[in-house]
Amino acid sequence: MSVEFATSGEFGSWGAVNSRRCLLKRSAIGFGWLAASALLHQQAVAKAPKIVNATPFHFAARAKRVIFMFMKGGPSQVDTFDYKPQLQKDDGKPLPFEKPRVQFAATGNLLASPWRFRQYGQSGIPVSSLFPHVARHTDDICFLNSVYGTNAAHGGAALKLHTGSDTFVRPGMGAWVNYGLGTENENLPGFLTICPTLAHGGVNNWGAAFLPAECQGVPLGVASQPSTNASVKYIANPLLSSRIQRTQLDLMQRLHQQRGGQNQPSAAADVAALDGRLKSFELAFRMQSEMPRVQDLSHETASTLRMYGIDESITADFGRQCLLARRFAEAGVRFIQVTHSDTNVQWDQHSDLKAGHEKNAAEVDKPIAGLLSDLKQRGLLDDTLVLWGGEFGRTPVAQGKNGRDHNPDGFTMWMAGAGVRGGMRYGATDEYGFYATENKMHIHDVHATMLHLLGLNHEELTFRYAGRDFRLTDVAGQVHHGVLS
Amino acid sequence: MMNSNLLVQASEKLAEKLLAEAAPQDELRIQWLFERALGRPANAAEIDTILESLRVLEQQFLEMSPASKHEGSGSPARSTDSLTLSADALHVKSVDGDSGATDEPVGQSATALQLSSWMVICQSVLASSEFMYVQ
Repeated sequence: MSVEFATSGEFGSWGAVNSRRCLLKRSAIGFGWLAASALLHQQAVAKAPKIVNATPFHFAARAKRVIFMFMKGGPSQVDTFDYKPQLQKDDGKPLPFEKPRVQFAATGNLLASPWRFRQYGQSGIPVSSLFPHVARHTDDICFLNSVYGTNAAHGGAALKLHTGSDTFVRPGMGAWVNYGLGTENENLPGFLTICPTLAHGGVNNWGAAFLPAECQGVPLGVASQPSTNASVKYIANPLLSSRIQRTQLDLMQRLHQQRGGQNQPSAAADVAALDGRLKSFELAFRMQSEMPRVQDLSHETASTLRMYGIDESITADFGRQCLLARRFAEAGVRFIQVTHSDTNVQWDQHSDLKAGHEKNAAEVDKPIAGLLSDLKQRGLLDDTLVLWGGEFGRTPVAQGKNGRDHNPDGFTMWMAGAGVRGGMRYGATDEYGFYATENKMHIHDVHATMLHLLGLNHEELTFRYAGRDFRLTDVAGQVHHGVLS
Repeated sequence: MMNSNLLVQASEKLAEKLLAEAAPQDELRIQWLFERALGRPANAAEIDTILESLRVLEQQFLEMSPASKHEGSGSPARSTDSLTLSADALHVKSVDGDSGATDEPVGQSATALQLSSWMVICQSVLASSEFMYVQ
């Protein structure tokens, strides 16, 4: 692939002295788009074998896109997908080993799960009665029973899960994926987050940080509002025809390039951010017809709506999010996040575990299962990675009488779809489900494995900023090949 | 930013004011706009760019006005509900001072074409990074 950089038109107004430096800065920033253009090029000429080498991929990609279902607050592993018979036997007894040195709150003795587990599918993996619909997909799911993190509070843990850092402002994983692969549909953002929560990381969870601004996630709606409101504000222009809008954008581009107000170029990051603004105008222009079309659910059949539970009040809200996720996946959006969160911290049952988890699971179980079925019947599950989980799990010991505290030391996420070995429990926790013990999988490892499935080497997907190369996995992370099919 | 009522209204008002207060030559109008919005004079390249866009906009607004019925013929495959701006749609307020701020549609007079075109120019400047963030 040959790429032509500097033309006098693009850099000339910045002056000869600065041009080389600017060129280098700008070409570094443009990498994501080089990657994207290589991919598009690949799709256009897929039959020519030599082009394969010109893709952005480090490995053969199994997944083209990701749907991440974020269960905010921390679903309990021992009440869902990590069955612990010993815990059921030892209800009320003290934990026979040390609790973590750092805990979020004081906890007491072991608390058995109030739900029954049943084995499902050919794999015979036990799933609790909280997830009867998802359970029917166990043979397609790889349960990551040994995930662990580093942070016992929602804010740091959620930020860690989304960005790989629980302290600093870093790009969200969807931004990294788009930086690496670009978008498959130039008329839509490559990273959409549906009904995201504004707390606990908030906008940083889907931000681009130092990556090019166009990699950032576009939020549709917010967690505190019904998903019927999950649309782009002001997507329609009631006044100007698309032809006149085009003329206007051309004018704005030219004025922007002329930079009449600045004698000196700004810092590279500032230039990138301002370029990102113009790119967002361009994208918004192209989205005007595409976005309403993809968001229009009116042509979905009644049976599809039923499959997602959109016909029932308890499941309608999350079902709509999941159906939108499928439609965006079909339309070529690279990374789609759906969030299950109310105005509180949805899955955070410090008390009254039974009522809380029962309500939460009832809201998502059928929609998630519907999404998996739908992706499968459309052939999308072959190249879509579905990732499910919260920012941490919950303690097998009780908080108060009938609650569970945060537990980052061992919890369950799951993957399904492209390149994932279904019908498997990967890794394990101890006999009570407190600590990850076998094939321990840190959040960084989840990220590394996800990127691997997308054909990206997490150690090579870097961005130089503030004097060093940054990665989604920072200086950690390893791919868990046991998860891969 | 480009479609919100706030910015559209502000751009309309600014265009009305520009046509009413600036000297009637387009170059001087551009200077008026830049000084007012950005606090600096426009340079020669910017003036050329805007003059060029102004001509294109006036032509495009003219072609889509009800009288000339060129609608759709020039632009490929627009959806049927695509929205167009005519002077009527803008409900242009009369620009000549206090002769009554009625919502009287102006029709496709030269003034309405001018106003629509300048509204687009004003919005482009108000949405610019220089106006929003820089300096």
